[in-house]
Amino acid sequence: MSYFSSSRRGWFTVAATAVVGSVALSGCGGSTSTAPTGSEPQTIKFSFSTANPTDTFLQDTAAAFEKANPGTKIELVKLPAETEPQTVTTQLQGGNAADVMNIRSGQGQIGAMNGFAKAGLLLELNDAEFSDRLPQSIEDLFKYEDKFYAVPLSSMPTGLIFNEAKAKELGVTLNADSSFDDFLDQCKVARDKGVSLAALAGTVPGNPGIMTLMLASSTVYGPNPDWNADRAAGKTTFADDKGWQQALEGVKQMFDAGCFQDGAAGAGFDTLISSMGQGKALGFFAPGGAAKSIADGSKGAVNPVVVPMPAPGVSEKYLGTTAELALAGNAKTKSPTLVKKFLKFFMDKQGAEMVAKGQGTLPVNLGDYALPASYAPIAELYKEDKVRPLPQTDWPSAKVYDSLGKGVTAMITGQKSGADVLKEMDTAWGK
Amino acid sequence: MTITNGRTVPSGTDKEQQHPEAPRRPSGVGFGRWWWALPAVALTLVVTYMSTAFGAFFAFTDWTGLGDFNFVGVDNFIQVFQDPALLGSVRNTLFLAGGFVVFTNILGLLFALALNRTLKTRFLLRALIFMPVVLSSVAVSFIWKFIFAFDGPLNQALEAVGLGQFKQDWLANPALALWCVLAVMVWQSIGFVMVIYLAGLATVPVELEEAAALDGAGIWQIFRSITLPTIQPSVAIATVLTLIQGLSVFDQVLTLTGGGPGDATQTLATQIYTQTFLYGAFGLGAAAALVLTVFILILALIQQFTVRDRANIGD
Repeated sequence: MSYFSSSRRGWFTVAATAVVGSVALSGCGGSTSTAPTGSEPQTIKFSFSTANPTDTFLQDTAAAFEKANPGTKIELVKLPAETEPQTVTTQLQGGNAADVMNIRSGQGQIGAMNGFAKAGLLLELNDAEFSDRLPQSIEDLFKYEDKFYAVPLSSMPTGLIFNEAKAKELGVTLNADSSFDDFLDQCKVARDKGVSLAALAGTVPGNPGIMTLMLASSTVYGPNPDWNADRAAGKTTFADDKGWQQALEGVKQMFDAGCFQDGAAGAGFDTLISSMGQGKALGFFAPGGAAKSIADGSKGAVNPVVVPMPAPGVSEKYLGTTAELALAGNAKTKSPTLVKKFLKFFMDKQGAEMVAKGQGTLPVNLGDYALPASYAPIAELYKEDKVRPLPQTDWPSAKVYDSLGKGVTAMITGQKSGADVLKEMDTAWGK
Repeated sequence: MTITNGRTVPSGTDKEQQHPEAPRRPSGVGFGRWWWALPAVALTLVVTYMSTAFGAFFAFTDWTGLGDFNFVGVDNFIQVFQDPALLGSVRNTLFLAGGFVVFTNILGLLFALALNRTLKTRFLLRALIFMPVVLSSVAVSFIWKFIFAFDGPLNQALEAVGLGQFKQDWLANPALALWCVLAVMVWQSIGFVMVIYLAGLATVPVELEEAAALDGAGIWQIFRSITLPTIQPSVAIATVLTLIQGLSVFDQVLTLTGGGPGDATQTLATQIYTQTFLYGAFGLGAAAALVLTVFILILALIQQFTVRDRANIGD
């Protein structure tokens, strides 16, 4: 197995990059060269990126595949996470993409599967093994016109990445049972101790965006998992929906209660980790993999847990998860059988668990997989099946999610009201 | 005397003398053949003009960067001027360009005048003022982002001198963020403009200034009637360059504010990037790029006309 790129940085950088990638998410490019041993070449290129540059779970999984399939060779091409969607888009359009690549599921973002599938650039995954292994709740994200084109890499539960030990020292109590009012109260307790309960990166739309989606998981998608379909059918709008109004109102209440650090609207991603590292904030909103990155980066000095986010005006709490990261095959590959075999490996128990353990996430088919300790506060929600996929991967354009993220920042700077933000999301949906 | 094919020939010589029996060069080898420029011309045509033409073509389509596209006429251009966010970016672009031209030229000229002759430390000061120009605009912007941060040095300094009430979330304040971007742009470019004006000031005859002073002209009169007309070509160059730089500002905005808060600091250049590479709306992005190009062209022409060297008109 050949491998290009390696880096060693401090845990601070590692964790920061991990969070950037966790929220913005990963990818790749390249094309195939081979030494044929059978009816098709047995060497394929796999382009990818990881949120945390020191993560090696994809390399390890590829190596495990090679070991399980003697005679095959996976050439790894690591791409920068920041520009991966654009790189893969350019490579696929230019006809020089790798045989297998990291993409995003669904359609709501640049570099998402639907656009590639629509243009005929992805290999159709027509074996029943692909469709049979996908949980029904997320299978639409991997289908285009009833055909499968991608497989999920993992399932990432989202929540408040919370430094529980530090919170205990300060007398701040937040757990799986905390209500939204409890959350606001604890924001004030933390403030009195000179820290903020949550750090927010207001200049990066993905961060306020994911925070709001956590609230909407309970206020919108918990009661109505088919809300996106209703919106697409014109039965509802963001602006008219009570759940969305509650979610935006919740954000406003959090800001007013001093839940975020001073200067949150002007802060970048670096602030999330630095605030937590310096003890200025007790947590931040991100996919759960960030908890593992921080624990690894600090060599166990900080072991955050993932606390589910309560929402205002609802009694039931739902957990937002995302299977945004996906793998797909290039339609132009000279080794379609090997590509499918490689993709299936990521859906097998062995491959899926290697990824989940290395990434600090979960396999999409949870089965008997033991949740890591950092996920203890969300375990009950999994048992009760109170889990909802984050909706943005099913939205028609990246502009809708961007309007939400930017709008939330504009809301806390007083430029816009919650109603304005929801109207802009409706406008973006319509385009 | 005439000049033929690059060689000087004395006048009055006959045709034979003009073409002495010099050893002939091998055919196909010579100096200054017009076709020597062909590769460079072809490369320029392909790399610059053809790609620009393709970009302009896509401005009339709904291409997403993948697969097929449809022609949508001038819909993308209508959207540029109707979408509040895009329209806001046009306003921000004009504000930044205007502010950049005015402040860099005034400050650059003042520094050039101050450091032109008499000051002993002028060479050191010139170097210090020019230094930011050689730095990467992204690196400079990151440093300023740190300075402007809520718990950054600027607010700390204000607090230290008892001006804590003026502490701001500088880059998140919609009323101030654009000014902060402008300040960084100006700070980094003053040295560049100063150098242009220093070159211009070197052409101002000292005797003329001294004569005017002896005749009782004041500093302002000397500046207005002698210095400024003499450095008119420098003014034209400096203002055109800063106008183009100001209209196409990208690095500083993306690094300092990312276009936010909300869309408060979006410019046409950052919108082109956002629409094209984040939203996958290549058609709309191309339309915005074309609008920006036309803006730069028109404003540069107007500005050139305004500050043209009237003394040389008709030459």
